[in-house]
Amino acid sequence: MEDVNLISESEIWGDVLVELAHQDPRIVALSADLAHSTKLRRFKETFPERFFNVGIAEQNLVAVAAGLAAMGLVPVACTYATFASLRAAEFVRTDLAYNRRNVKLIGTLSGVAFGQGGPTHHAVEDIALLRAVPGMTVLCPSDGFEMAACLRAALALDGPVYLRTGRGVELPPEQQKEPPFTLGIPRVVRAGRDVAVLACGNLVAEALRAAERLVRVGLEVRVVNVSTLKPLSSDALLSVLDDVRAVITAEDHSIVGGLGSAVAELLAEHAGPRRLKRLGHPDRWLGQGIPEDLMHAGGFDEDAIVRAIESLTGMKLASDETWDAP
Amino acid sequence: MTAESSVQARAELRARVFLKAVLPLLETVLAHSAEHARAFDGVTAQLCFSVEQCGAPSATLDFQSGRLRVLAQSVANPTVDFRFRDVAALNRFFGGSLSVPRVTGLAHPRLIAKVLRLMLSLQVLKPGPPPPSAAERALRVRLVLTLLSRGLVQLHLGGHAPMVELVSASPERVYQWTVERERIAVWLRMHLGRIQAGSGTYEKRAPFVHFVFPDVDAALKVFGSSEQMSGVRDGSVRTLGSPEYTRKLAYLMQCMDQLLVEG
Repeated sequence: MEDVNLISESEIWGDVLVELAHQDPRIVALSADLAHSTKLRRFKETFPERFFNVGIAEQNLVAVAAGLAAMGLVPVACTYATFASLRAAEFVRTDLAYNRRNVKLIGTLSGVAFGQGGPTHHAVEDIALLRAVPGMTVLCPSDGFEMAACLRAALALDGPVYLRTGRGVELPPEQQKEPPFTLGIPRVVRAGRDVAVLACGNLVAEALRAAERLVRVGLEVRVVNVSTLKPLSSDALLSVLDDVRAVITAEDHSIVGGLGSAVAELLAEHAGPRRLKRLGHPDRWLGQGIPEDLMHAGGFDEDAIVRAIESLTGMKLASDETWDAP
Repeated sequence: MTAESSVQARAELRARVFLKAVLPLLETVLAHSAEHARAFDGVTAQLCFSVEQCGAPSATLDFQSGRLRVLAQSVANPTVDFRFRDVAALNRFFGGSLSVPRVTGLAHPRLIAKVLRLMLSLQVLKPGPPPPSAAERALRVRLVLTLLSRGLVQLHLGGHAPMVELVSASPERVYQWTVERERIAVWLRMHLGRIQAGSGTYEKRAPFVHFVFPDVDAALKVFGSSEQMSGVRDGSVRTLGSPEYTRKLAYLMQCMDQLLVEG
């Protein structure tokens, strides 16, 4: 994993946290023995007296953070997403959400971002779990730049927030700067009227690439970045889907309980009939592998989005069958 | 595979890369060097490079009114025929060591001299300090990148096991190399055992891994170094996309480099 650390994009939110901590002395950071790989290294170096390593003990990480919050501090607790959401689930629900503690819980390497670690290290249920917890805010930014914007918004909010990040090498879908971010409001990042792809996390970039390819068959694909999974404004969501009849959701998360489910719930309750296709981690174990290979095998990458759009619209991209001869 | 047959297979792979990836670079030299292009103005001739061994690779330089196409096989009745005793002799010749082929067509000494001079222009690929002129530096980078993409194709088609493994299992993916300032670009595309290389930017699909050099000098710095990641650290190259596959490609590029320089 050492090369990940050479890519500066993943360091952005770590730097933003340091910047915000200079402004707000209440901010403290906690790690479950992963300060280096979870980007808290700069915070630890800059504010050693405000940094706490609780060891490989994720329940303790959340409980200590809740205690510090009870004393008026603003803890940012960070560990791999699978341990933040699954191992520490009851502590998140009871200590953070039920007691409404002002803790920002960051889950890194979400989805299959740590593909090589195998299913024990894949976090494909975290959105489903934490979306069901009353009072939790759940954010899933598309890249390091949006993660920085989400972190600012999370720290401005009084209450528990779960921020879900990838591995920090995602292709930035937009300009290399912090995009505008409003809590609860999906954002159209590419205009189009034929079909809408609602995506979160690293799937936003995949959706944009798919949309670009489909221009060749005359399709205008709207891409919507849904970086707030909860609270998700039904009015805002319906307004970005107002004039499209076919909707695809795409996420590096189980198709059970994540973005696809959230959108299906809102559409079923508040909108007229629409064709909906959910793309995400299938309801089976994908095994161990490089993240891009797992996403391809699981059917939640650029190619899968193209196929889903082709299936919904009946338009088909011609494949390029020009190959070098033996 | 015995040790002897393994050595023979490697020699054949090397010959394949020389004939089907290095020799076609002469098209690039002629397209970007007015001096060499002038030397072949109006020339129509065919020069074959082959081996007196059944099934060994061969190639032809096909000049038609000064325009060069490198064909991936020999042709009947060429103007000049360079025939090597075996692939080892061909490899020595293209590797810059002493190796004398049997030549038919010696009645065209000026043509042979011009072609050998053109082939010597590929010496620019050998390790050494960057050429002094900007045009030569740009040509060197263009040649290195073209060799890289076409050479990887030949590694796959020639049966290089790690390359075959990568290509066979690959969904459709594009690897792109771009030098931003001088707008030099090449690409490599693969899909379940099939492969293709090309110049410019592949337009039908965004790259899966993109190596981006800010300019020719940065590219020369990276290709002159044995440690690609040092180029990432000092900003000479940005890699966008999967770090794992970036590493795999970097390893395969080193494999090809090794194949070409071994004696």
